Amino acid sequence: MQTSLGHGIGMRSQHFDAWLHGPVPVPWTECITENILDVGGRPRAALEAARARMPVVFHGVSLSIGGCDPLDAGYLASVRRLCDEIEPAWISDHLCWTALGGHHLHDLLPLPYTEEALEHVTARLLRVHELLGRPIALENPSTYVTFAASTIPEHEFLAELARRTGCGLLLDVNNVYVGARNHGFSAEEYVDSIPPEALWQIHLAGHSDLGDHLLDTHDAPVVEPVWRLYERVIARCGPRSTLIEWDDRIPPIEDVIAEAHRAAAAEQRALGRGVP
Amino acid sequence: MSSLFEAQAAMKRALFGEDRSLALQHLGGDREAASERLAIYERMYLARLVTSMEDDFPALRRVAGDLFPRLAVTHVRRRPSRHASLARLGDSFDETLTELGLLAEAAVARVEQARNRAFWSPDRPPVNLGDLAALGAALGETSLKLHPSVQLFASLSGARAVVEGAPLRVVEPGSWEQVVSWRQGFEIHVDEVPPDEAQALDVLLCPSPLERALEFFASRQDPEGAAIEAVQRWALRGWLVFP
Repeated sequence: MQTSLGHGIGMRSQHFDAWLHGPVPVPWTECITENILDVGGRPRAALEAARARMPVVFHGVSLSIGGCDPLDAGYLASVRRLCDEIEPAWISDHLCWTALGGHHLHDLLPLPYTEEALEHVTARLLRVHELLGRPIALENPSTYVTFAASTIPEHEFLAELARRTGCGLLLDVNNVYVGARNHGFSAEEYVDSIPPEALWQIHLAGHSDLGDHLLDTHDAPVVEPVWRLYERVIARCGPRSTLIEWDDRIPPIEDVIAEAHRAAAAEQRALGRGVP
Repeated sequence: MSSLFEAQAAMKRALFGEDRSLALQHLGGDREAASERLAIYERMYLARLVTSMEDDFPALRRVAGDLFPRLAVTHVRRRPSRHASLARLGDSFDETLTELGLLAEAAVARVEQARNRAFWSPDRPPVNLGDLAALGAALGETSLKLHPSVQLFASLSGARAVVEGAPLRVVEPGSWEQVVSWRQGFEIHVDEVPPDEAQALDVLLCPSPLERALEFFASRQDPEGAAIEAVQRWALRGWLVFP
């Protein structure tokens, strides 16, 4: 998974026409898994049009890998069927929990980073790999709270998960920045500890600064400190498939593509500079 | 019980607006800061769901105005999501509105729910007129069913017009009509169907021989002609699939 696909953009319904009538000048795209699962019509047609031209990655939001409900076998069967039909480059989801007691909360809720949680997520992730017939990548979430019980830094938790399960890591650089500001840890130390061999993909996005905390809103361009952090990751790990996420106040697709081009330029700067 | 489960159960209770004190016991940092940060999740939980429902019910949002967010919150409190996709959140919004005594709003919601289901439903190749002709004499005994995008339901008269932009007052209490919505190409359509045709289509919700469905045209002046006209129209609209 370490061959870089280049700098892509997420597929959003506001841009379906562009995807349907393409080509969209990016080397790859990513679809929210739940938006295309057991779905036909325009979403499916846009997905197939994109797939005919470029690699596609599925990015889930409802796996609930850290949840305490049993894994949703029906959901996983649908994901596997979709993978068999579309053949994505890979699949990803988030290090979080999203459902309990059969209720889906539709938010990426944080986990306490404990040995218990690590064992719990490890066992579930191995089972998911088995059911999907392939390893998946997990993304570091944006968080606003910490747990009193936590004993493991998030980046160590992720690295250990990758070591134990063979999962990939989807490093959302904006989420690292948001978390660092919200919780007071070092963003640089975080990204420097990501094992390069496990890093499959990078996300970049904008956020909102609400003064006493940052909110991961995906509704604005990437901010300068996040670009610097991104360059730091690339300089250390080498080129990685990078994707611009824009989910709210979505601009014309040309603006999102321009942001992907900025990412390509940032990568070139980082590679030219070398390891810091 | 694991501490992981306890932490999640406590956080869920906070998001559901039931009790936030338990969640605060699990959070790190000082209590005041933790309380403010927990509130971010509480606000985001409802905001995300309300926004999703606003997107899925544009007509109801227009006629309900400032009341819409309260109706959406009531819905997600009474019927928390049980599906991985947010698109299914409003599946039974009409039932919540009916419980609240808002019958005209419920009728509008039912039309929009059907439109949403038609939009998302899986693709299946429809039976076309050529397929029907090729069946020849075997047509009557051939099992067919409705395309997954076809939604058949009873609606208060006027609700369809509200979805097209009319004011809520055009909904007629006590006046019912049979309605079908479907997707053809990428377009979503909604239309009224006569009661006997609705009964015929109802048979085809499950795979059934076509002749069983067409029995419902028996009371027409020209049953055979009505049946042929209906089947041709169904095929032209892409309503039929082979099981």
